[in-house]
Amino acid sequence: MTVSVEVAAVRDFLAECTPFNELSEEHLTLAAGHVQIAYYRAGESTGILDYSNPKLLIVRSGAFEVRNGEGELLDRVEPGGYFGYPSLLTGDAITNQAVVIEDGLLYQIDADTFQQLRSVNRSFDRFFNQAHAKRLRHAVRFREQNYQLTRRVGDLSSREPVTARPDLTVAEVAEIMTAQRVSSVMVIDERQQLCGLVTDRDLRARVVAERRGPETPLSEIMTRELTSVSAESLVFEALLLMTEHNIHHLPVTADGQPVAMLTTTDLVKAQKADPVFLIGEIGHQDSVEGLKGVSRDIPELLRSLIRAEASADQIGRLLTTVTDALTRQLIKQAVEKYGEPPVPFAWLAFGSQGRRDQTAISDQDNGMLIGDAVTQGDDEYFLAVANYVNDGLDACGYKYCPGEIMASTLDWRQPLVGWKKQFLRWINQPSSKALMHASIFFDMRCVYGDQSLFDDLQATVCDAARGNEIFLANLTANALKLTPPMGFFKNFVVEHSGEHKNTLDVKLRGIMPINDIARIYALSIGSRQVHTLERLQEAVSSKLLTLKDSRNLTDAHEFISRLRLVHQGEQLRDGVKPDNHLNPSTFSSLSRHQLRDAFAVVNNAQSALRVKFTHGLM
Amino acid sequence: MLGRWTTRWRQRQLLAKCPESAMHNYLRGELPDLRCEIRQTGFLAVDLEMTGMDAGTDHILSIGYVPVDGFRVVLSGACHRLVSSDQGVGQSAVIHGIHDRDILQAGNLREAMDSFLSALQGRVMLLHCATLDMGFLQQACKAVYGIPLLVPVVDTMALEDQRLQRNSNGQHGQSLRLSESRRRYNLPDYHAHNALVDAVSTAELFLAQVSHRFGRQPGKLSQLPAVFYS
Repeated sequence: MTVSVEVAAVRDFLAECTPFNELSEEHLTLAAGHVQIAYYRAGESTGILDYSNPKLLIVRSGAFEVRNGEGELLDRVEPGGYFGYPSLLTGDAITNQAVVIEDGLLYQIDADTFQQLRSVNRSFDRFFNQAHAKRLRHAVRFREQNYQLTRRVGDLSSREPVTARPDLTVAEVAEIMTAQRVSSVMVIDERQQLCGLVTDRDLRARVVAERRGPETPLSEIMTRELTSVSAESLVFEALLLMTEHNIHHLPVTADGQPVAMLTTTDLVKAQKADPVFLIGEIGHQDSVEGLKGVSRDIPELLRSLIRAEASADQIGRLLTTVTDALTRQLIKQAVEKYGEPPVPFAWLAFGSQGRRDQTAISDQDNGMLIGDAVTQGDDEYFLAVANYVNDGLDACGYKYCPGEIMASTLDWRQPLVGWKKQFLRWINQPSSKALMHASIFFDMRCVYGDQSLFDDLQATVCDAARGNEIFLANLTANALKLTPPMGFFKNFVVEHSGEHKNTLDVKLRGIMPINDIARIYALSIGSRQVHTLERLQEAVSSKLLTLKDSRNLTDAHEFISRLRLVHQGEQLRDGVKPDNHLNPSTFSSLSRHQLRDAFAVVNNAQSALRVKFTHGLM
Repeated sequence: MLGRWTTRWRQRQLLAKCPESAMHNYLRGELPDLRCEIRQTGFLAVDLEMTGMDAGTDHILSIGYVPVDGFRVVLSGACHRLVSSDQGVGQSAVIHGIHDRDILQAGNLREAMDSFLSALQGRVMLLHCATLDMGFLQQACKAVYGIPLLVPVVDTMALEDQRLQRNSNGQHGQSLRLSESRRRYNLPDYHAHNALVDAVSTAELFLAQVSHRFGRQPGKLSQLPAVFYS
């Protein structure tokens, strides 16, 4: 009898490689069963890639380089990496050559098996899709289809379970509960299995009310008939159980051992993380103190959106909606306090709030646009309102802008004519230095007040910028200073020292370059659009950008933004101040592949931008 | 250990003694010629798990094998069989992790040897530490078919010993164990061990040894410490 023809060592290795880890058990076994293993010595180059018989080559040990017909280095592949597959996908004979850099084993998978795996598993197919960027795009779209708005119990209950042995006395357990600030304790037997539950109410009803002494063992008073759930259960199911049994504490177990306690408070908190609820609450606050209280729930909102696998774009829009609501409510409170404005004004948001792509960390970037009828004496009023709003936003967690781009700064609290003058100076007499810190002003949006004032300003800016080669060339020169952090061997170039050692600033090196590209395209056609993805779409409509390039950029933006959001969500969970510094060694191999592809897209788009806009200057 | 003509003679002699069986079919086929080019030769890497080290009293618990064709280890031809026995596993379970309950469902020694011989047809056997495993295989063939196994064998352990001696002009003092030998060629460590994983390990070691010895130059089987057993 054949027990198994599976070679565990080969299967286990494949199971750790993306996208083989996406395969079902059955298909993983199929893949492993069709592997052929070859050994190559350093320096060998013939016969590894054979285009008359293309195969998927997986590096098991050693290192290999792929070079094109001219001998140029295309890729360096290390254990867990792949090569040889492009010709399997396209059917084209490619005259690349592989060179062995370090002795090693190659696992080879024949064309038939490869095509079979592609046809049975969509993520496998997508991973190996021909163009890098195309592969990336599919991955992003794929995730979006996987929406899981139904949350799991494991996402909610955050703290470690508090447990006690049944022979403890009620006095001892009361001390533990007080010290740990919990309203219940899970009782475990010697095998760590959950055997009982003691709550505040039990101490009242079964100890004090029944006149039992403090030395009573837990085993006499604990609830033994327990209802529990697993961490994988839906929150919805847990809620039903708690309602049905009229209980406020629901132990979460794995293999009979307690892993967490779910309480009604956890469920209420989950409810509060609903953006509609949050914005409704904001509208009811008549003090900064009140808004500050509501804004404490914003991190939980962000975390719940990340868990619900909302896209980075949706999350950015939602968070910005909350910021807008907070800003408006603060202005209303200020008007309540200081009276109606002497002349109409508009509150402007710049930067990420303007673009509607805020994240867990957003500084303030705002200004006040005042009607030209304003007199010198009126500024006292506008300054008071500006200070009230800026201080209020700071109290709610939106830190003062380090560059003082805030309405409380006189430069950014101007009548319409002043703003026009400022923008025209940037546009008509540009120098890349002056524009360096000015680009965020071109991502402006009216959050409150007189929309016609804003429209007037925007029309002036768009008219002046459209087709202005010198201005666009200077913007481009600035934009090209930030490049994706990729090295020669397609490795990530991380910071080598300091606080952020071994990390990448994905905002600075990935997201901002895409924002810059979108802004330049939009300004060049006089578009009023400020949202990055919508700017890219307009660039396509105006035939500045191909649909493919715009999709690639959109996907790269979404992918990098999402990586950053997940990172920030983890930091919020751990009580760490969120930042933009990601450590690539903590990514899954799929994420690493995709981030590399995303950076490659940014790189290509920057080259295209250089060609289009800098010919007049460089 | 026999020469080419003696091998032919021995093959005919054994065939005459052998009743209709998998062994009869095996002996009727061509045996590999040691003058062949290595990269064109078919191999079968084999490993056994036994209840102990003595072929006289201990017995085979499992057999794993994998073919090498066109100088590649072909996993689709891999096989792993447990062998039932009346004697039980005894203390050896500690080493190989095969327990009595595992071999309750296993086939008998004859079934295992029948399919092994059909996989071995026309191939050179690869073993790491050939004398030990060959002792058991010969014992098994005599028990099942009444005659010993006639097969050319390359011992990767002997090959490794030969290479290390050459490099150090004599005593090398290095370990010849499978895992240590593999490390010298940058081959990965396999953590799970059974007869099949060790057979694959042996096959990979062999590819590495030949690559290092001959590079891309042709090499013949007769240049290796390849010997006919019978």
